[in-house]
Order: sequence, then C-alpha cells, then structure tokens
Amino acid sequence: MQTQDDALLKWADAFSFGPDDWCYVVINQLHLDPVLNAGADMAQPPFLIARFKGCNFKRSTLKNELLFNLDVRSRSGNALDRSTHAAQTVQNLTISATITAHTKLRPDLSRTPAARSGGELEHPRLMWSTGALISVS
Amino acid sequence: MVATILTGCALTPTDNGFKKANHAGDLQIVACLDQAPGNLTVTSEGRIIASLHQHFSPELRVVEIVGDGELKLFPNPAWSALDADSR
Repeated sequence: MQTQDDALLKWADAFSFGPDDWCYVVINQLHLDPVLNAGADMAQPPFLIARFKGCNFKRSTLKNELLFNLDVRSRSGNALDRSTHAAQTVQNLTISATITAHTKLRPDLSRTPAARSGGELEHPRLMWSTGALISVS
Repeated sequence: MVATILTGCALTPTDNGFKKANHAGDLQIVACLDQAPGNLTVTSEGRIIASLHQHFSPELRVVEIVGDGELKLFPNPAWSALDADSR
C-alpha cells in the first residue's frame, strides 16, 4: 500500500476512470502552490498524469471521489462522442470542480467572474478531490 | 505497490508508447506536464481532458493532453483561452 511521497506521488489530486479498467490520477503538487504555501510557488514541473489498475473501490477511503469521477466519465465521456454540446458538459464539470475548490480557499483570487462574485456553483457537490491517498490492493 | 519512479520524467517507451503496467498496483506515468493539471476526465477512447489548476494562474482553462504531455486547447482556443474579462 503506497500512499504519498515526495518523489512521485506529490499530491494525487483528481481521479478518472478510463478504458480497460484504468484509473487515471492527477499529481499536481498542490501543497506547493502559492495559495496553499504561504504565497510561495514552490511547485516544479513535471506535473504528472498517471494511471493504475487493481484499485479496490469498495474498500477505498476515496470511494466518493472515485465514484464521482466515474459518474463524470460515464456522462461526459459518452456525451463527448455524440455532440459538441456534450463536450461543453465535460468542460463545465471539470471547471466547476476547480472553481468550487478555489472559491472555498481564496475567492478574491479567483480568475473566473462567477467564483469572484461568490455566485452559485453549478455543481456544489463537486468538492475538491483531495486524494492524497491512492489505495491500491 | 510497484511505482514507476521517474528520473527527469523519462518515460519508458514500448510498442504502445509507454511502459506497460498491467499488474494490480503498478503505477504507470502517462504524461508529464509543464503546467499543473486540476481535474481530469478520460473518455471511452482514452482521450484525456483536463482543467489546469487555478491556483497556478494558468493562461488556459481546459486542455486535451496529447502524447506524453503536449497540451492542446480543448475544445478550441476561443473557449479554452482566458479572455480579458476573466483574468
């Protein structure tokens, strides 16, 4: 069971299922960004997209986040194949998740008018998937 | 868990472009990015769509990650690039 380290798993932040049972994960060094690091940007590329198999979803402490991403993929992934309108759905979902997290931290720094004004979020349940744990059986 | 530890983010090429990691627990690096991604979704064809994380003040919003780390504006430049009003 590997969780987090300073070499590779520098803040696993978001998950999505892909084809063939892959689970994709973003590793983005979020703990080193200016907003969460006293104003100092200490994150250094490369930022990573990784994937793995064999996740025990039922036992995972990240169950909600994983299921959430599954839901996004199943809706947006299928829709993406059909029309441009559905592609917009993909964007709205991903952007909303980021806006949600950002608004909770520093709304004054937000780069989107909706978040700056504290406007209603389209998907208020989309919380930041702070996945510092990757649970692999 | 067996992790593919990177040295300078060097990927291990194989026939399909990346090191195979088909065993449970193997972590495979798919792409190395210059900018920090936020959230992602992967389509049924394996296309990777991601936002760039707002904490890093990116100039782009949503990108498709092509190959081992190239960022392609998604779905088009007009939508993905921040306009003046949103900066």
